[in-house]
Amino acid sequence: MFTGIFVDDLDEVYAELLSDEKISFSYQGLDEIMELRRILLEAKPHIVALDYRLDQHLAGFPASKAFKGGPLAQLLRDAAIDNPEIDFPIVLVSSEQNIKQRFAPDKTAHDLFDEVMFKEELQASSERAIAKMIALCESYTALVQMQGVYDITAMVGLPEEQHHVVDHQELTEAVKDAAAPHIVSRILSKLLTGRTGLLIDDNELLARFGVALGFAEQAAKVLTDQGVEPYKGLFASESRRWWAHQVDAVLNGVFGKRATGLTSAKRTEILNQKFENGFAAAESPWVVGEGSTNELIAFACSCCGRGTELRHSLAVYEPPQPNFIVKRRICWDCIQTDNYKNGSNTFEIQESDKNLIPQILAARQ
Amino acid sequence: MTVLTAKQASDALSSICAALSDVGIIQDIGVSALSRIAGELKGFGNSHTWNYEVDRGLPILFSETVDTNKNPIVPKVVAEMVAVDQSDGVLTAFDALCVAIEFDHVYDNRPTPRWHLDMANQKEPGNWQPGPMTHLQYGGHLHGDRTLDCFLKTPRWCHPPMEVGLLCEIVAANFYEAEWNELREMPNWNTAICTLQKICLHDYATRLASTLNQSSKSFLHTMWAQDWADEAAS
Repeated sequence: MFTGIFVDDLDEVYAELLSDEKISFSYQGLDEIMELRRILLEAKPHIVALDYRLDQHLAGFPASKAFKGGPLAQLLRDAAIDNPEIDFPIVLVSSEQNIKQRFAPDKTAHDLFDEVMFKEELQASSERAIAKMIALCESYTALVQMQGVYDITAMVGLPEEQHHVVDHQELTEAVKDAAAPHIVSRILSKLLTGRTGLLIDDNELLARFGVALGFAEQAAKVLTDQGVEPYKGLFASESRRWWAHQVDAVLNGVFGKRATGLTSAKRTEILNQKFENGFAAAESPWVVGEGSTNELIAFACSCCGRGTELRHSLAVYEPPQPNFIVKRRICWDCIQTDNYKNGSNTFEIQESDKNLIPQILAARQ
Repeated sequence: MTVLTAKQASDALSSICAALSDVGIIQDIGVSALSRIAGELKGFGNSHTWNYEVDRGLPILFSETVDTNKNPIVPKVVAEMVAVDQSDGVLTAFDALCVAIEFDHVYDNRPTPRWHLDMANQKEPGNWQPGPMTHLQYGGHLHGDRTLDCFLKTPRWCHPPMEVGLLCEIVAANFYEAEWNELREMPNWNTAICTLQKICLHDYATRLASTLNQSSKSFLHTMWAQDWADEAAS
């Protein structure tokens, strides 16, 4: 049984919502920040969940001593740097409004948290959140047991003959030099589990298969029947990920060449001949009519998740990333409909591609 | 002949990828493609045989530049197959080779400018396609519409084999000369290109050199696939 502490200035109920037979959260109300730090560290929890706005419902607590979740998380992280054996995951649990309006602009606080969750989603269903919390506890426990000797190959669950896949200096050196489990967590999230590159999610998987959204389970079955399992290394979660090189190898075998060099119609035809799974071909988000499945669907649009093709997509602006990270792209349909500006995630188009936007807005095949 | 390992070729392609990125002439998609190939080659370890593909869906895509008429163009490198086999007794270091530099037009349907470099096919054992063993050809097609192919694909120009790293240098030199001048000053770029040249040029250069001190057979005749293969078999 994992133990967790939920810190909030008001909503005790979330401690209960986040508990089940494998994890038990207790509620901790407001106190002075150094006192809270002491309470949390002495309790030696497996995980801590914090509300971001700890300064909204003070109930007699002096306003001059009020603080937000960020500074408290920073104190806990500092303590873990000195004593890595006590390190634990910290999850931000706050209202959607507070996260979007207050936390999102506070970029310095982003690296402090392993996960960010909306309270509204917890109220609707806490099952996924609990699964994530347990996965975090398990991964931190494994990292603490490594006693500061961090080797990426021991974390990712790959057989030895495939260790070369994670042999990238940006990964190996960063992990090796990490001072505490939460640093490893951040590195893996930014370079492995949280980005398309060495691992891919179900949407990317479907784009490589060249089949429509909604066929993830059928695609997963094709892979598992060939002996390919989802990622099972540290920080694996219920958001399934697949090793890109393993997926490519299976698809190379199925198609006799790289999948993304064939149209989605052709890929689907071959898949249905071989596996009889009733796949429907991915349609280009931009091309309408008969030609919509005659495109080289190659990746998932970062905005809508549909498979899309290079020639009808634009690059998203991103700060420099290691080469093994696949940079995000947006389909022309999301550009024309402004979905990339107004959706739940917003994107900035790379400067070199911006000149195409007026033509996309004016055109429609 | 210097024999390369797949790991050495992987390192060379990683260096080429990093250098092209440093001088800013490759798009992110291109970086991903080169990085993927380098990763795949790493998996072959110390083997002297390896293969890879660069498909049109995820090509090695360069930055937009302009042609001599100031029209925008985006060069890309694709490879239907590069299969290296440096075992003794094979004709060249390549078992299979088909690489290309091509350009897509986004807003019109003109034929795609495309130059591809490949090896003569063996129609049946011992019977080779007419043409030089490794040759350069013009021609190609716009995705999805073969009616726009250029009508003439011959001649097959006698040309040394090149794998994608060397094609990247061709693109850099021809379309981004200022940046290529920078690349030429980078030791890691030069080392990487020279490494890949070894598997591409050795057999070709040896055969070329052999024609210079005799007058009974032209260079093209010496390089003709059927003649090269017959001579190797005898």
